[in-house]
Amino acid sequence: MSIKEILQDYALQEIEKQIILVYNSPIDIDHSYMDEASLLRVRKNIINHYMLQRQEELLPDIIAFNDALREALRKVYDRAHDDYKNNRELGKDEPVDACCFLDGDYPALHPLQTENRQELWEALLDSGWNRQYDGVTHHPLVVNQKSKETFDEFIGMESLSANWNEGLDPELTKDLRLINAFYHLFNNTEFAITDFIYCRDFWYYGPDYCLLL
Amino acid sequence: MQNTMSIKEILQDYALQELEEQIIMSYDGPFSKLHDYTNERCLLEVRRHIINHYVLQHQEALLPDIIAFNDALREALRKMYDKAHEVYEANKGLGEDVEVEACCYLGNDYPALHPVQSENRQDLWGALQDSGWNLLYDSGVTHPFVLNRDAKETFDDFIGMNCPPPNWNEGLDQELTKDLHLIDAFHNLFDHTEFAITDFIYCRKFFYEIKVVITE
Repeated sequence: MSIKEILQDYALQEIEKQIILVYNSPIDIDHSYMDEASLLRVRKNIINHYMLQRQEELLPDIIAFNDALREALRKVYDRAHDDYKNNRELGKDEPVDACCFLDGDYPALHPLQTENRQELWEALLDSGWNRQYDGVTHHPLVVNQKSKETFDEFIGMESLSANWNEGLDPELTKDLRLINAFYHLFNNTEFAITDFIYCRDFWYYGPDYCLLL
Repeated sequence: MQNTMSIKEILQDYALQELEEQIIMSYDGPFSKLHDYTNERCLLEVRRHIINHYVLQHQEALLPDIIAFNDALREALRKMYDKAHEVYEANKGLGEDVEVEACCYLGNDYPALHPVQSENRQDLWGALQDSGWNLLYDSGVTHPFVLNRDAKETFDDFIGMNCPPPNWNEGLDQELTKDLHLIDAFHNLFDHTEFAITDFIYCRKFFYEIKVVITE
């Protein structure tokens, strides 16, 4: 079975249909989509169970995603520092909080491209029920007068042997140098691994504006 | 899934097991006190869709149990019907207006005939039977049977076998099930409740509750 065939499993499709249905149903006083967050958890468990038996096939996209993510966070880091500097020059000495998000467009590289995938993507991106997803990193980058966090510290790579590959095949992924944002998406959020590894576009959310990186 | 798979293998699908574990967790897991399991009704709905989708491709394999279940169910409802009349007769002089209401439920023990017998099945069974989220199972396998001064419902009326053709097989293979005489309680469990067909067709034990309301 290919990655695509696994993701087309009938049970998964039913769960995903239900996720879209619940997400788009009108919120009433007694019930909201957020009450049904366990649907996301079940889906993640099922997909990861099958996918982690195919890590070799996923490896190229794990690597490419990690590279793209590092690159995006580098831009976020630089831009946040620029924003802080510019604000100071304008006499506004306020800390800058910056976050990085996955693009709102369903990844073009994803092996499944069907009609309802954009709707599913939007449902998955919603932090109302994907509660740990308030950006790709565990916490926002904060730049202020006292902040001395280097870029490597921000992405958890200050140690030369750093590799945030917990939950993946340790042997296969031992040289990957996965950054902590990868770990956060994989372990803490309700995304399945195949949701994010095909993503290559990211957004910068700065103090008062956002832009596609 | 392959057509050669057995019912047991279908029901042991990994995705289904994950859903069932989540149902048990939501209903009675360590964090169940922190949220209201009835908000997660859709877990039952999705599970039912998935199981029915697969097993209804194997209706021939299910047929003997569909028949045996329908027979056992009819028998249980017959006993309840008779007992309700006895209770009514014994109590009808006690007030101005006496009403007897009887409801029939699937047995509380996980069906011994079910092809999947594993550790957490009794927990799952308990969760599925809860009418907090299996809403239309509130009055049991069918609507309550009511007896009072005016009631004239025969047993065949009660089980829906007084109308042509008396076979409540909607949603099943019409040709295969054309002679089955399925009663409407079967249809109710299959079409209206959140049970998957394989939840109830292996069940052979039932219990009923009879309530007497006396108005003086």
